[in-house]
Amino acid sequence: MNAKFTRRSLLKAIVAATVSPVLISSVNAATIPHIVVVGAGFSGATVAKYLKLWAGSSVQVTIIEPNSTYVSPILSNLVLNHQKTTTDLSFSYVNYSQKYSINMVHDKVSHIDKTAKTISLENGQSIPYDKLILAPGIEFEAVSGHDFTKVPHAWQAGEQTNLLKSQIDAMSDGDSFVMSIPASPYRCPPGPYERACVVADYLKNSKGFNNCTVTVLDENAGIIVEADTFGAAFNEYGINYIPDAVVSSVDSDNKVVNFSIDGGAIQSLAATTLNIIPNQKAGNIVFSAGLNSGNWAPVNPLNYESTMAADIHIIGDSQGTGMPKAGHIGNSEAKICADAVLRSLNGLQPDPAPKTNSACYSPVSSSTATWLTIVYEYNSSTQSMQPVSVPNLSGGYPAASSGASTRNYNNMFNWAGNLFSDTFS
Amino acid sequence: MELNSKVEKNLNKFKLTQGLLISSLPLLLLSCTGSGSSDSDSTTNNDSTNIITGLVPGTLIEAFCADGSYYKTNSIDNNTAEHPFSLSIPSGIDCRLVMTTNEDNPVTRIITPINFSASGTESGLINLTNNLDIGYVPLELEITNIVDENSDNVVDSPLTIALSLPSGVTIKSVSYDLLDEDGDGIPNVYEDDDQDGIHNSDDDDDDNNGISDDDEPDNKDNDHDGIEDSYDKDDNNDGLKDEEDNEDNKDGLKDEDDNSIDDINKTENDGEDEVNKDEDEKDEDEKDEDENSEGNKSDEVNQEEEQNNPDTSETTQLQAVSYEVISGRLLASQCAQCHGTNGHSVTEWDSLAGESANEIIEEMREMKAGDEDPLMQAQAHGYSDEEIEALANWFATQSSNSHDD
Ligand SMILES: Cc1cc2nc3c(=O)[nH]c(=O)nc-3n(C[C@H](O)[C@H](O)[C@H](O)COP(=O)(O)OP(=O)(O)OC[C@H]3O[C@@H](n4cnc5c(N)ncnc54)[C@H](O)[C@@H]3O)c2cc1C
Repeated sequence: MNAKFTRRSLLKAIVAATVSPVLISSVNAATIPHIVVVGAGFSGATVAKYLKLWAGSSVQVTIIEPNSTYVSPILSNLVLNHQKTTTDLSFSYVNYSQKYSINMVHDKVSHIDKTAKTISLENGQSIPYDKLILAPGIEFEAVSGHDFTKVPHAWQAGEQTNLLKSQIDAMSDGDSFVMSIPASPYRCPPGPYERACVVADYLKNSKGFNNCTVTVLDENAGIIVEADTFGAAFNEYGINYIPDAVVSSVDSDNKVVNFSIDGGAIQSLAATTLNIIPNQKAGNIVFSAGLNSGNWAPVNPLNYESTMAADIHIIGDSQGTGMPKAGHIGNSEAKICADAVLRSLNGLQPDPAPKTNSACYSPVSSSTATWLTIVYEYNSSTQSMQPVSVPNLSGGYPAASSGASTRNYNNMFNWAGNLFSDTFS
Repeated sequence: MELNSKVEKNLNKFKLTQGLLISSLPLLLLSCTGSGSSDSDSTTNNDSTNIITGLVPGTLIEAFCADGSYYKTNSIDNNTAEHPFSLSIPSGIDCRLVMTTNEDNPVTRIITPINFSASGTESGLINLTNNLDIGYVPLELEITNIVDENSDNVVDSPLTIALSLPSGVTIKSVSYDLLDEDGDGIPNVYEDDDQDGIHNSDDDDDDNNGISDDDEPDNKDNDHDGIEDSYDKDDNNDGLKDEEDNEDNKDGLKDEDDNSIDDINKTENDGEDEVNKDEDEKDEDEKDEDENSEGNKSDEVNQEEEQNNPDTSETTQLQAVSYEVISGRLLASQCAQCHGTNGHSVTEWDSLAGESANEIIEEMREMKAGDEDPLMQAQAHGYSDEEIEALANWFATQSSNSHDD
């Protein structure tokens, strides 16, 4: 029930409790299951849509999401080189929610009461759930001195993307761009390498600056995906790539990053434009609800239910199955979760052999792109998802494009167009 | 004590309600949706309507619907005590009804939210894909007979009408409803959050903070119906849909000259304006403290209630979900990221809906073998022959032109 008990409901409750058996029986009448979805990004918007697509009016679905417009991080590196605007990547929930009869509440969830099965919003309202699905994306680990409003991460899209864009636009020939890559796992494995290429290409080929430097500080021991393609592009652009570089602090006013290589002495590097992408973890609500183990939320990959609480499911970047943190596969997980939740409401077990898939297209210039793809299957002995073993596919998974091409660049928009519409319309 | 007499009054009203068992006949002649309409609300055509009819003492009848739309009508005086009314509401959309007697007199008017009960379910949420006649509704005409603790002319608990439902009419029992956030059966518009005797939709300052609601930066729900303005088809509840209503937030500005977010069509920068957003949230917090100040008392009594009656809150049962596990559908949904929902592509890439099972199976076989499309080759290898057959058979059930299911 609701915390915001009014006098009327109170009176009604007294009548019900003390004298009227008829009313009590109506209190016990079966209600339509209420599924609350927290966060409407790639995974949350997909799960809400598919719950309604598959179960219609026999379930009630409410989304809690603070923003009335979602700006897609997918393709957002193309804002930096003026191929797209954040408006092009923006999605409203108005037609979407009316089409599927989804309740939209624009607020943030601040608390989960697992026993009473209610969530509280920042505005104080409390909402009951029968099933709760958390899709809050990522949160950043704090870096000493890092002020996002001066040194953008641009790893959640919108204002941050435009801030980084305007800083790059303000650069002159001879200026320096320095970015950091977080320790894996983080959101979108190829994304930071892609960004380094897009920015280097933009400075050199669009602005015609031959004397700018682009430096990449990677906390990982080497390029973690598509190493051949990105390595070749780094060479072509003359990108200064430094692996095993751990950022220790940032001077946001002076755009200086302090880091150490392989545990060595602290070094400093000053930049004209500094883009620090901090290490990542599950959304805050996962931590405040005590649903994390380490930085992510452990779940059963058959239904994405938390292994730490019943009737709470976690999908998208926050979940800790080991599958990549990406929008395409977040959409994929959402459908497995929707199916499992609907089965469970009818007392059925989840599909014992779910399959998910991932695809990332990475622009590496204003006209070429690469891709990466994997199909995952459930391994019942390890109870986890693993890439399907594909002896007849040379190289196996992850499969990647043989190099960057214009064909890939054009296909990137065919892919994203359907992914966006499968998620937000 | 005062409370006792109120309870008694409540009981009297209750007896009245119990005696009221109306069986309604589907009015086939009036039906305007035809037969075979789907019961899935995701496929509803928002423009079709159904008619709800009945008999009342002279009354204003209002409907508040989940898409924010608002409908009203007055009963017709036929010189008897039972005036007929007829109100069109949208098909397949959940709505709540409120009836007001003595509607022209602000002192004696009585506002009565309506609940329906049918086969064990009691709720104010009604969903029509067929017409419904609710028979005679015995509304109170004498203001002194109603229970109205805060004197805002709204009865403190809804009047329940028992019905036997024709097909195409559902009463929905839900644990959360945007139109009635506290679940007491009184729609948000007729709540009186600040308990000042003026219900929210008439209250220009519904949190009693001295600032007119129109001037509050966090006023996102102009008509107080629970549906935020950008999702509200009629955000000033004047019975005109916003798209037809050139002046819909009562600020005197025509929509096209108005920068505030009052339209059904969103403005581009809503989500990006995060600094403002934070301010909004703070304002909501403030307003909230006001609302909670009377919450303590309710909590106490509420606890007592739970002690006396431990069962009531625990035994909420859930209705079965109409969900069938369909072979191949979940697998096929994993193609949608690239080929569109249910196989309807919106880009140059192929739609899979409308292809025969054999075509899809054959294509997947070719994809595995050849390297014409390396990404699709890599994907095809991820699925066994049985899986490919199952998803292909499911796609074959999808017609090429239906876009939604
Ligand atoms: C440059 C870049 C390129 C990328 N390219 C690709 C690509 O090619 N392919 C790919 O698959 N992925 C790509 N991604 C990754 C993809 O964008 C993310 O993995 C995806 O957005 C994650 O989806 P999600 O639903 O988990 O989280 P999000 O999309 O971040 O959504 C989370 C939502 O939850 C809301 N929220 C958070 N906390 C709360 C709360 N307490 N209450 C209510 N709501 C809350 C937020 O407001 C947000 O809207 C890329 C990312 C970047 C940055």
